[in-house]
Amino acid sequence: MDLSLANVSCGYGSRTVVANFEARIWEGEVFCLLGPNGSGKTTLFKTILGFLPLKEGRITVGGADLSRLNRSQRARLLGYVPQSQFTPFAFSVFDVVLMGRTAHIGFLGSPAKGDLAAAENVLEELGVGHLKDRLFTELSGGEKQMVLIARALSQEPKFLMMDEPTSNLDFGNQAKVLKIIQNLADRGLGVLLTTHFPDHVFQCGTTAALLRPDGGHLVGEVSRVLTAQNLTETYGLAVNVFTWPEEGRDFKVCRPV
Amino acid sequence: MASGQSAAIPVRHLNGTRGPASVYLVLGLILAATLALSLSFGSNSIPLPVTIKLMYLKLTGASIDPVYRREETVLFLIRLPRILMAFLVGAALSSAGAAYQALFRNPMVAPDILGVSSGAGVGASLAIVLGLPTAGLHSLAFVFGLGAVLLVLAVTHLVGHGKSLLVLILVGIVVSSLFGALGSFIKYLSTDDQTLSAMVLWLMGSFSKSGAWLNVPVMAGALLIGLGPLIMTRWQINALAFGQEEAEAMGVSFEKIRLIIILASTVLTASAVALCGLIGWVGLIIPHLARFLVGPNFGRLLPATVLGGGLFMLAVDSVVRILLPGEMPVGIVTSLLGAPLFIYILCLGRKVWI
Repeated sequence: MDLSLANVSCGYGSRTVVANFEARIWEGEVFCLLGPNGSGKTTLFKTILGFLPLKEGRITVGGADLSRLNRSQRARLLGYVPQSQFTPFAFSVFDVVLMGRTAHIGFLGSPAKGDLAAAENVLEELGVGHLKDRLFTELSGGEKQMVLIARALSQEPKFLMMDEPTSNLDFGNQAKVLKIIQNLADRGLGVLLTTHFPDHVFQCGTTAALLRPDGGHLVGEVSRVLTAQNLTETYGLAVNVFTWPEEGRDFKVCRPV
Repeated sequence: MASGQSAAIPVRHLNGTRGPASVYLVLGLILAATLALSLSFGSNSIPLPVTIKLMYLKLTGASIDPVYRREETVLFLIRLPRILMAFLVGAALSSAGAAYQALFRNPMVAPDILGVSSGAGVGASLAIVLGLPTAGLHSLAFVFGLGAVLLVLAVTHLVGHGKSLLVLILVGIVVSSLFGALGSFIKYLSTDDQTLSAMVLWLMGSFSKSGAWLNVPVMAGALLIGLGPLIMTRWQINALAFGQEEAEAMGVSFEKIRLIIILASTVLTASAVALCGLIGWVGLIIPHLARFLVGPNFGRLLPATVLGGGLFMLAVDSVVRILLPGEMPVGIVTSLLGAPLFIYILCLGRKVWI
């Protein structure tokens, strides 16, 4: 199954931020959206999720046009891990993860046994089963991120949409979340994420889209898109990419020089 | 290492993690006790055993000894309808508040945020000026309350940012203020002192007149009509806790659930206000206390809110009726109690659950 963006244009009101965007994301892939502030990362991301109207083009999952599906049908295809972790109400972690089951529960329904089991399984799989009875509002940022990933996974989507999944986390939690993203992709989930860190893309990305401030964009394999030259041009400062082989694969980091 | 360990210690306190059944049970017991005391005491006090005996006889449909005719009248014609009315109104205002707080993701929201109370106030004032009978006053107040909220929905739709809750709240404030001004205008025009004092008294909220058998089925019906959709969509309402976008990404039809909450809450509040006048703070405070007891999960919160709201209203009205001289409007007392109670909850809440 693929998430396909064909000739997509998006923006706010009459202003088009991203035009003619083409990409195809397969299950098991990690697709990373990169770009400077204001380049349209978030706009494109929100348009895929249906929070903003599509100006032009088609977004399909497995051939099904997302704009023709209702919220609940869409939720069974796309899971969303937001950047914000705020709620004013002290729901238990278990209840929060259970909310992810909403798309599988009827409009007038309540969670059934199967939904409880699914929520419990996801928490265990992510290794945060011990948080189950804690209050979401009292967790640390890293723990909240794990719970929100669990919530999106309990939705059983085909693709996971993650909005800057590492941006509010400490060094250790960043590595942990990147590892999880890789594991999820290895298990066949498609992941689409936005990020400000090219290094994180080197670590877990299979495909990258680099959005440039002038509205242009590059899409392709990570090593071909995130080159020193492309990064330098996109961010407007000299960037170098360093590569070294280890354990049979190439590791890469980038630094401004 | 040590910090890693302490992070894993589950925090337990008064919240939904422990079974709410005990909370409902305790609330039910307090309610039964309050009911018995409220029935027994008043300007014509009846010994508690007699009250309980007569209640039992009435419930089982047995005949009551004519010796107790006076007690029977006081209990079943005067006190019971007022008690039921207070309970129903408290339950209605509190559940409307709980639903709005979930929708607006704001524990500070009261049931009249979209102008239902000021609308009903204009309707009631108009009815008093026109000299309509009580039923006319109730109907006009209800229609105007409902009308104010529909106006808010229509204007929000016209403004075009129909998706934004902030626009909805702003339009609510505007319409509230507009109807508030209209209400003042009607008062200003009425030169007759009696009319004026009738309006002012109505606005203060009371069960002394409306606590009659005639109104009980109306209020009970409104409570059922309003609670029904809220109970049925309780799980969808939970998913609103993280805001519109996240709710939609989880599969919630946000606009549908928003309309359901607004209409249900409006029916609940408009009927309570239309029948009994403005009674403040109940709809704001009780959902807070209920969340404190059973947590925010709407399926557990709603029963606790209904029980707690009914109990609180009944208790306050009983105090007004039994302890205070004359017939002080209950709305004054709820506000006098509500403000400090709210501050107290805020102090608790800072650590516990906000």
